[in-house]
Amino acid sequence: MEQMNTDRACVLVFAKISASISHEIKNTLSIINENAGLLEDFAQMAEEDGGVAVERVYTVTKTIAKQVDRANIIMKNLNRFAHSADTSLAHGSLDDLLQLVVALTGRQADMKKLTTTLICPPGVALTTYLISLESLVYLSLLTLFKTAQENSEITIEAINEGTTISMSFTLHENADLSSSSYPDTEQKLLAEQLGASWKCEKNRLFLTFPAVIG
Amino acid sequence: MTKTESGKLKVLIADDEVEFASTIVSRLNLRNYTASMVNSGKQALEAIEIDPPDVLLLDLKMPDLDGLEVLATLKKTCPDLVVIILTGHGSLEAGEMGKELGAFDYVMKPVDLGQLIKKIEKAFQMAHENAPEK
Repeated sequence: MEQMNTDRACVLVFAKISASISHEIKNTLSIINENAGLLEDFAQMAEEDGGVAVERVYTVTKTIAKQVDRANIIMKNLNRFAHSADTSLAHGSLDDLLQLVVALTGRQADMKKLTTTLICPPGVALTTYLISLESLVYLSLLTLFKTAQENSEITIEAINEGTTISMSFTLHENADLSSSSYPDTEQKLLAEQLGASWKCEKNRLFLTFPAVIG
Repeated sequence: MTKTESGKLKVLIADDEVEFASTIVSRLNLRNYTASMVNSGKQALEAIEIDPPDVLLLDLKMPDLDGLEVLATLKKTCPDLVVIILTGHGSLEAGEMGKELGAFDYVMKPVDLGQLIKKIEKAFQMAHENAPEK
């Protein structure tokens, strides 16, 4: 029953990420579509009077290439997240995991012009329910985003304490996260599966969890 | 409601995807429109106050004010402005909600420029016909 509930919490996060990413992919496709159309306009102009500056064509092709890169990165991140669920318990690197989650929340951060800074020691190995940890970090960040004012800064700091990892999420403004009902039902389920404890202070959330489960 | 002195329709695009908005601007300008862009909801309201366009193309998802909030404000401050919603949502729900809030119509992204132009012309024509004689 407990496993079913944590699975449900992960599906919820997957749905949130999919909604955000599909929106972003639609944006990149829209830009590519318009630029392909603009190339067609240039071709027509060239046919009619032979006059299109070559720089204008280069600008369009560069824009298309840039959007293809952007879409590729977005899909790569989604693919990495999806593969976190390949096995129940999996090995991973804390740094990679946090970078992935920060990238996956990029669009939500942009919507409020938020800057997220990550401080994490390199090479910290994890053996845990990776998708549950990613989901918990994702939902914790969204809690901060919801409270944050526009243009705020957020710092995620992870400290390796040997067998445990401590993580803090700090919102650099005069905020009160105690009214954010953190952790909510899903966050609590995920935290319990990960053996994590949590704390909520004025403008900070804390998570402590074992680096190795099982 | 009037066209610019040159007889061209003035179209303002409000979309936070700068490269999308700038390309639509280029393509509309090649087709005898006077198009310009802004990249947030607040900028849209400021630009409209200074120089109202004939037609506003309004994205729904933007930083600061989103499209529906802009639409709600415009309903009070500039009720005659013709608005066409641009939506990247997979479903039609958001566009229909925009229509309920007073938008003339909506267009799904990626945009079919031919379809968009037909909607711009139709929107302008209808607004012009319905405008009270001055």
